[in-house]
Amino acid sequence: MTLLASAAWAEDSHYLIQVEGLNCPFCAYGIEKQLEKLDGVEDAETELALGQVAVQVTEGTTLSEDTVREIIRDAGFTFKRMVRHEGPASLRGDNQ
Amino acid sequence: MSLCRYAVCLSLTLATSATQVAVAAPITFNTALPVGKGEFINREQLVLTRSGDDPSGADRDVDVNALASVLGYGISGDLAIFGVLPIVDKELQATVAGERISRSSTGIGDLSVFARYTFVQQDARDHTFRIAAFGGVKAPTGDDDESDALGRLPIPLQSGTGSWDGFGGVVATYQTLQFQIDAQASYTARSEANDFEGGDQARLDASFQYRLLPRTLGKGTPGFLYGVLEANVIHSDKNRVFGSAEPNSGGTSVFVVPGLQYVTKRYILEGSLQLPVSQDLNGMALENDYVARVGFRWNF
Repeated sequence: MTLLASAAWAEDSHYLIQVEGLNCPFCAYGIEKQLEKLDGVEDAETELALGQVAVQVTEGTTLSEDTVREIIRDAGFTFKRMVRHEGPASLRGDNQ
Repeated sequence: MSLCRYAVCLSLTLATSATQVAVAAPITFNTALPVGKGEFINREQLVLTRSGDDPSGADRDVDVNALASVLGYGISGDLAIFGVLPIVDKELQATVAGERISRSSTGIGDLSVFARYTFVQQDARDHTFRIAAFGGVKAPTGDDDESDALGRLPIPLQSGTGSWDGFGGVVATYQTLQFQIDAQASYTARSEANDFEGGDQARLDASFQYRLLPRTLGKGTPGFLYGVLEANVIHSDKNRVFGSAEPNSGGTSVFVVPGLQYVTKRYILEGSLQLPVSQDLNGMALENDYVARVGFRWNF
């Protein structure tokens, strides 16, 4: 998996990944599992109601959009977009 | 299936399908939902089939218990392969010349392998719609030469059929967070083995799954409790024995299948009861009383 290092992100940065077509709990597992294999990813959690996956990354880690897009496609779903946020992941409180 | 040999005429239609797979999906047939690339999914399902209501006067009862193990693997987001291997236990009881007899077999059944490719995928924020085609073969891995004190068991009582059969079909799935609809059309072409050729089978299946709990989605990925209602229309051609059509075999059956599924990220628990609504069977073919299913699926 491609993972690009970046400079000076704050601790507890996270990404919100918008996934289309994800509508059941059983389908979410594969996406989370593959995202958690990426270097620098501490945790991935799906918010089904929003169709979002929150990915917590370590300081200095940047996720490649191409890599994430490929993971979502290989899981059988459609990547819409991803946004980086500083601070711990809080799915309900984040805006795209 | 049907066979009139060895003093006992046995005919039954099994309302089972080799293409029951392992994604969050209908209980009695397939789905178009994906198996992720590099992901394995396992399903274990206990299927209890009871058949009786014998029009022949022989008071036949047939019990078939099967533990079907399914292993699915995602080659890509669109393509998955599956293997299905049952362990079966079959028993026939009938009254012959005033005496109650019992014939049975237990063993590994026939292995089915098939591939499924999703050729339509329309994803949106709140739903997905997919259409997939699948096709495969059933290999004669089960024992088809078992005997008892009365002689060789009729083919429908053997653990395996001895024949190579092909099957294929198309399945469509529409899924939202609240409900899921699946529909499938499939066909199984059977070949001859041991002077017996099971009738080809055509099926139409439909499933509606509605999320009962949680009624309102909260944070994260909660487990879903689905109420399930399925319907199966199964038409079987007559079997052929020594090249001749067996008149007491084949026909058309309609089933309804109420059930429940509890779906989490890692596993699914499910149960259903397949009940006959209509059984328009030929001659003295034995009718299904019910087919009960309990099982689980998990991904790894």
